[in-house]
Amino acid sequence: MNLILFTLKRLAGLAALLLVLSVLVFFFTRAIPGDIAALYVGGNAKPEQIEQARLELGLDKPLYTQYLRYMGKLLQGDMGLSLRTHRPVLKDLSEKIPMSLELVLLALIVAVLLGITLGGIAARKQGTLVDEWIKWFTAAAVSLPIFFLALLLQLVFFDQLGWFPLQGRLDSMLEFTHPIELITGFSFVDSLVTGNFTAFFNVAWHMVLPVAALTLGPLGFIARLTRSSLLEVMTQDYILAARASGLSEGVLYFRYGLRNALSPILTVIGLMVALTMLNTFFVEMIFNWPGIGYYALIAITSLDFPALMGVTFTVGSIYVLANTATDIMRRLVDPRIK
Amino acid sequence: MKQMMKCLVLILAVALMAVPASGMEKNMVYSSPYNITTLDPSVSYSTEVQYMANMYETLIKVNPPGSKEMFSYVLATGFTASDDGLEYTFTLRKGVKFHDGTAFTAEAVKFSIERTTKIGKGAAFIWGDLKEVNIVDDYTVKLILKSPAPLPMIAASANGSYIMSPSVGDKGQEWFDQGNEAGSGPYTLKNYKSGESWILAKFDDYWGGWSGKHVENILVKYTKEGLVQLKMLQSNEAMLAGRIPIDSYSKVQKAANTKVISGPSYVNYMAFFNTTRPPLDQQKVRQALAHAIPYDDLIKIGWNGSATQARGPVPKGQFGYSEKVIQYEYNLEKAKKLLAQAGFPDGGFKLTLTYAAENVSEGRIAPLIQGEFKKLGIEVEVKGIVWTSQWAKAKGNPKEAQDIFLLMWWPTYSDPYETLYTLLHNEKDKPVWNLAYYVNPAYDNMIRKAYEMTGSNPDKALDLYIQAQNMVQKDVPVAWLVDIVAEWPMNEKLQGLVINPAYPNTPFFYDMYIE
Repeated sequence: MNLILFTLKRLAGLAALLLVLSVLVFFFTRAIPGDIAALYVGGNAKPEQIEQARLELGLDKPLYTQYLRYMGKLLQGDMGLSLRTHRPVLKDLSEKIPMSLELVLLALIVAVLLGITLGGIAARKQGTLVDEWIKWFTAAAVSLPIFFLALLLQLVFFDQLGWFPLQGRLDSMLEFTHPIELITGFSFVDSLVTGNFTAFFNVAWHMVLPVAALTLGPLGFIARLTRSSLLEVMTQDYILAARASGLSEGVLYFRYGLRNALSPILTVIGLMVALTMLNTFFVEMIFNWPGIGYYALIAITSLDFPALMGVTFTVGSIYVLANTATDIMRRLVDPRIK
Repeated sequence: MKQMMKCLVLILAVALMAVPASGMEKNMVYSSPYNITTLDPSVSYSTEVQYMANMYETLIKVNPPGSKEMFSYVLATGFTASDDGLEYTFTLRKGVKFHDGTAFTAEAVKFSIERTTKIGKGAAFIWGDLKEVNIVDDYTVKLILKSPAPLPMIAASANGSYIMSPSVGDKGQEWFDQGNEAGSGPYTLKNYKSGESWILAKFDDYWGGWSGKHVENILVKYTKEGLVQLKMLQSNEAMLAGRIPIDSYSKVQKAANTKVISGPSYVNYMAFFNTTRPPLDQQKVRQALAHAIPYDDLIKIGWNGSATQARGPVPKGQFGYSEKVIQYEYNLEKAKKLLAQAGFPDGGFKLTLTYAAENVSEGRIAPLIQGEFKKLGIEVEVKGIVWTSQWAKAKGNPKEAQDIFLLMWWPTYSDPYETLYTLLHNEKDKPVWNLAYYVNPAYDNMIRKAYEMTGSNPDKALDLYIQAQNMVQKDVPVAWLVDIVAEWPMNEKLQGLVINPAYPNTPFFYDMYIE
């Protein structure tokens, strides 16, 4: 019961936060000089066409009226038309988000599993050479800028070794023979549902490099946090008592210690979702991955204002939802948080 | 038995020989930075022209400069004009089918032009002088004008003149943008994934037929990053790329598996001078500046040597271009003299120059102009701003706008009027493209006269266009910088690309084949 109330409260907070976000984004993007009507017309736009578009898009009205109109439509699930693709922003996003989520989720799962394992091992082997190696590896993973890391992976594994493909989510030649039908937008799901196994494995192969690029930063961070958190827990009295009762060190570390060390890690995972979403902007550009980051970057450079609003809302919502979810999980793991 | 064995061996040999022939490469990948902003043929007026021109056809097409004939016939097989230049009669090709199976007749022509003008978006303005379209019979159609205009050029325009199947009816832009098309061209659209990839696939019933060498299926892979396009090309994943990093063209040219094909283009670059405020409101000062631009260096640094100095507003090869138009050459001595005559012997003033930050070439040439002007004692503040912002600022109050504005421009159809009118006619207090804020009523009248005469008396029209351009060249509201060369990086095996400046940046895949 308590948990439901908590969730509802957080969701109300989410609505308030998005409202603030919408005001900020709307008025900030409008402060950038740029003629939205002319952008909408495109090409060598003629003056009369620009005027007509201005009326059509309601850009002749005062800014606050435009904001209210936008929010009114948003509540009905209408994010307007993209100035660049001339398609409903909601449709564009619904196709792009799954492709990014696929990368982000996979990267985070790998980061959490490997990060906790590595951190656990480092803590268990504290002071040894293994601990030292892990320390170096995680320090590098945390401090390398994502675009550099992505380019480096591309250089080594495509240019030099040729083990993994350069770009995209499917081999170009497979687009002729085994195209993925668009159902959910998740390439894995869509290819499996349609029995397109060739595409399924090809997508997996294409995912390796972008996911590796996305995963390393959070992985390093989680590993380091796990190590310090676990070491702190291991000095507590109850561990001492358990140790005195003759439990093996492995059981002590990975069953009793880790569970209690997990709480701060869960908090961080919420933040990692945000960080990884942001990192997809670079990774998708470099690997030509047609997700929301790619879409957003092009929207930014072409000042595609409705698309920008849509992206901000969506990424903002994902971020807040992820944080809410981790908070709920923390309560489940650690009953002391009330 | 032996006979049979012989037979079998023979059959096997024939079969083996046949395999490579049928397995000839017909599919290719095109790594393209050009997105689709709409698939509606009436509205389309942007980068998607590349794909539209492969799916849709026009009545006639303008041939590349230097061809024997001015036009080639596509959906029309001929046309005649009335003496007063107000009526054009087109005879239409028989046996043409649209991709949806509908037969092509005069009705389709009427439907398409009327749909485009009714919607009034994109390049619909090209039909501004059209009064009505009359169907004479199934294969004859008459276009009647309000006032004389070079209608064949308009009918051959790269935008706004596509003929579509009348079965479109009252379907709107949304229907097209879901990935539908209704053309008669050699290719149909398949697997449209907005912002990711799409396939231009062979249309079996194309009237031109498929005998001979043609590429049959083209996967267009939308790739924004130049570096990724380059790598796709180098690794043989892509046969054709759109825009690789400027410095890599020579590398691609030299490599064994790739090459660069270049040809003329009507794309040109210019620098507008703000004529509304001192000191650029003085003709002599503007003339001085036009002499102080290092044209050869711009070409070397901005375009790696592959461009030519522009003569005037009309690019070389297009109707309206002439050697009789005055050209400014780089000459600092002359520039100094002119400045002294205007009362600025040592310069001593400051100017701001804006360019579009996303345009690499403009970013490279702006400092060159700055450096030369400095030798005249003129300080130039160079500002690279995102195009939309650069343009928005220039469209505000001219008195507060920039002094010099760099612009890349290309004409919509093969007639000089659009360029001469759009960039230089008096826009009164609402500037859009005349970013020199130049006012010259005599010029405005003269180009209009020339435009109306193009159909009936092209020689006289050309004379008028030359006079009008020279009028502008004396005033120098704009310094015309360079006409650029179109360049296509591609695989060594890809053949047949024809670069036609009347259709800027458009690869006609039907002409192409893989060796």
